[in-house]
Amino acid sequence: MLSIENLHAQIDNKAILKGINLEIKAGEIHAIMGPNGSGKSTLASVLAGKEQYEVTEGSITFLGKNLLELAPEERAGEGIFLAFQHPIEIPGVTTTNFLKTALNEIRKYQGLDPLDAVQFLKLLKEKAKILQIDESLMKRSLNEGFSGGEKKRNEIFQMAMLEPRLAILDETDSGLDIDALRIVAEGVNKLKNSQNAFLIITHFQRILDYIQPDFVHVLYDGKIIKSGGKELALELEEKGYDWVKAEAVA
Amino acid sequence: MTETSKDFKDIFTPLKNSASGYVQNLRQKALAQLQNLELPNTKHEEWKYTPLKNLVKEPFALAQPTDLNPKDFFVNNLENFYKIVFVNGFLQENQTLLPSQVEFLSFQEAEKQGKLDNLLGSIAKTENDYFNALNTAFCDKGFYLRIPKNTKIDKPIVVYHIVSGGFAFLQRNIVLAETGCRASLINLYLADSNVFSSFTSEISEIFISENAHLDCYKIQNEKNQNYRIDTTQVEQKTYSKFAMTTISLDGGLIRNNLNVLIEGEHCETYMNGLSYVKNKTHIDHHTLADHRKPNSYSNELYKGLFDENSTGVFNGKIYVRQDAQKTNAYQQNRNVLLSDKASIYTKPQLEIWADDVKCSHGATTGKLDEAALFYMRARGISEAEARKLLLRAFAGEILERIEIEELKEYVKNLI
Repeated sequence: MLSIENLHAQIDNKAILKGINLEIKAGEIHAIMGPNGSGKSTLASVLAGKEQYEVTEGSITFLGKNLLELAPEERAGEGIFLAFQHPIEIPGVTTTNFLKTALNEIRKYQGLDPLDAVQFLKLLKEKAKILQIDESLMKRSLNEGFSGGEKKRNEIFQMAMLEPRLAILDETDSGLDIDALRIVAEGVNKLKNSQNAFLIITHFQRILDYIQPDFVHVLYDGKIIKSGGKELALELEEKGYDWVKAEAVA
Repeated sequence: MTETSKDFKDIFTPLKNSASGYVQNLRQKALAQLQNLELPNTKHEEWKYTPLKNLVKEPFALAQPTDLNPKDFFVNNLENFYKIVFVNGFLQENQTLLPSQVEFLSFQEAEKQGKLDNLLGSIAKTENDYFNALNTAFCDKGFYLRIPKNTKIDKPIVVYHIVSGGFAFLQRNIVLAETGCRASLINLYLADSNVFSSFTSEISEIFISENAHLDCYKIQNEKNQNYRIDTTQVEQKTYSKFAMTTISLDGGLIRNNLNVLIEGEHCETYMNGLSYVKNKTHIDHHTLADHRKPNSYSNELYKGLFDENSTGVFNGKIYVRQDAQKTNAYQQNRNVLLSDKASIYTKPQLEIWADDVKCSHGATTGKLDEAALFYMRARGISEAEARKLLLRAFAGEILERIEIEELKEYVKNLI
C-alpha cells in the first residue's frame, strides 16, 4: 500500500529525515517510536503533504501513485488521513459543516456522488455512537474551546467519517487520560479491517497495550534504526532508547 | 491647493438657493466657512491614509434627473418591505411605499414646511469639516423621516441609493426616532456597472429620543468607481438603542464617518462593520462613540477582508467624558489581508476622562491562517474551498448580527 524508499526531507535547510525505508501493507498496523526530535512528526507531515517540508531525496509510493506529486487534498482523496498532533481550532466553521465539506470533496475526487444532508447525518450519528462522541460537539466551531482530549477524539471521529485507506496517528495518545486513550484505541480497533492500514506515531508504549501493532520501528536521527514485532515496544518501555542507539552505532 | 479645491466645490454652485429662513442662514454660514477650507489632503490627520488627489481630476457633472428604471435594482428578498428610492440623489416619489404612521417628506418640502429648523446642522457641524460645509452650503436633496412617538414600524424601510453615470451630487437626510418608537432602516447603495466615476456626499443626522430603538444597515455595493463620503451623525437619549451595521463590498473610494453622541444614560450602541473588498477599492471607516452621560454601553466590531490591491482604513474613537461614569465601551477591529498588495491602516483610540469605567479596544491584522488551511486540505478540502470556508467563517461573526433574516440571506449571497 505504502512504500517509502530512502526518504530525505528538510525544513529551513535543516535535514530531518535522512533515509527512511518503510513498507506498509493493507491490514497492517505499524508503530513508530523514538525520542523527541528524531523526526517522527516530520515523517507524518511529509506524508500528509505539508509544504514547509522539502523532500530532497527518495520516493513515496501510495497505491501505485507517486505521493510526492500530489497536493494535500489529493492525498486525502487517495485515502491518506493524518490525525494531527495539535488539531487546529477553526472558529466559525462547525464540525458538521467541515466534515460534510471534507467528505463530499473526497467523494468528488473519487468520482462518487455527494451525500445529501439526510445521508450525511445518518452516517454522523452512526460514527458518533461508535466513538462515544457527544453530538452537541458537532454543532460547535471545529475544535474551538475543546479540551485536549476532545480534540484528539474529534480527530479519530473524523477518521471514522472519512474512512481512509491509511491513517497516520501523530501522537494522538499524548495528553490523553486513560479513559480517553481507551476510547481512541477502541475506535481504531473497530475501524481496522483487511483493506486499511494504520501508522501510529508515539512516544509511549502505553497506547500499544490497547492497539496491537504488527510492527514496531524505532526512529532515531531521521532513520529507522530498528524494527521488530510488538515485543520491541515493551523492551523500549523497559530499557529506554540508549541500547538501540548503541546497537545502531555498533 | 486652494485653486483645485475651489474648482471642486464649484461643481455645486448652480445649486445656490435664494430661499430665506433657518436653512438658508445655515447654507450661508457653511458657504462662508467653505471659502476658508481646503479639500482634505493626506497632511490632515483624519485623512492621512485616504488620498483625494484624484477627486479634482475627475470630470464630474452635476447630477441631472435620469430615465433609469430603478426597478432593475430592486432586491427580490426585500420586496415585501417599505421603500424609499433615490437615483443620483433625486427622490423617486412614485416609488415611495411607507406605512401611514410615519411622516416622510423630500428635503425641499421639509424645508418649505420648516421641519428642518433647529434640526438640520445641529449635530453635523460645518466648522473645520470640508465635506460637512460643502454638503450644508448646497443641500437641497434628501429626505426627512419622522417616526412618531411609540409607533412600531412592522417591517424594515429600505432606502435605495442608486448611482448611474459620471455625476456628482449631495444628499442630506434627517431621521427623527421619537420616544419609544421601534424601526429598522436598510440603506442599499447600488450603481450600474459602467466605468464612470461619480461623487456622492451624503450626511444623515439621526435623532433618537428616550426609549426609542433604531436598527440601521448600510450595504455598500456600488459596481463602479464611485467616491462616497458618508457621514452619519447620531444623537442618542436616555434608554435608547441604536445599531448600525455597515457592509462594504464594492465601490471606488468610500469614507464612512459614523459618529454617535451618547447624550443619555442607559443607552445601548452597537457598531458593526464588515468590509470585503478587492480591485482597487479603498474603504475608510472613521467611527466615534462619544459617551457624555453615565451608565451607557457601546460595542463596536469591525472586520475587514482585503484582497487584490484594495486598501482599508479603520480609525475608531471612544471618548468617555468626565460625567460618563460606569460606562462600558468595547471596540475590536480585526483584519485579514488576502493579497500581498492589499493594505490596512488601523488606529483604535480610547480617550477616557472618567475614572469608573470598563473599556477595552484592540486591533489585529493577519493573513488567512495557514495552519487552518493545511488542516482543511489534509481532510480533502481543496485550497479554494478551504479559503472560502475560512472567509465565510470570518465574515459570519458580523453577518450573524444582522437581525433581519431576508437581509442576512441577501448579504450572504453577495459574499
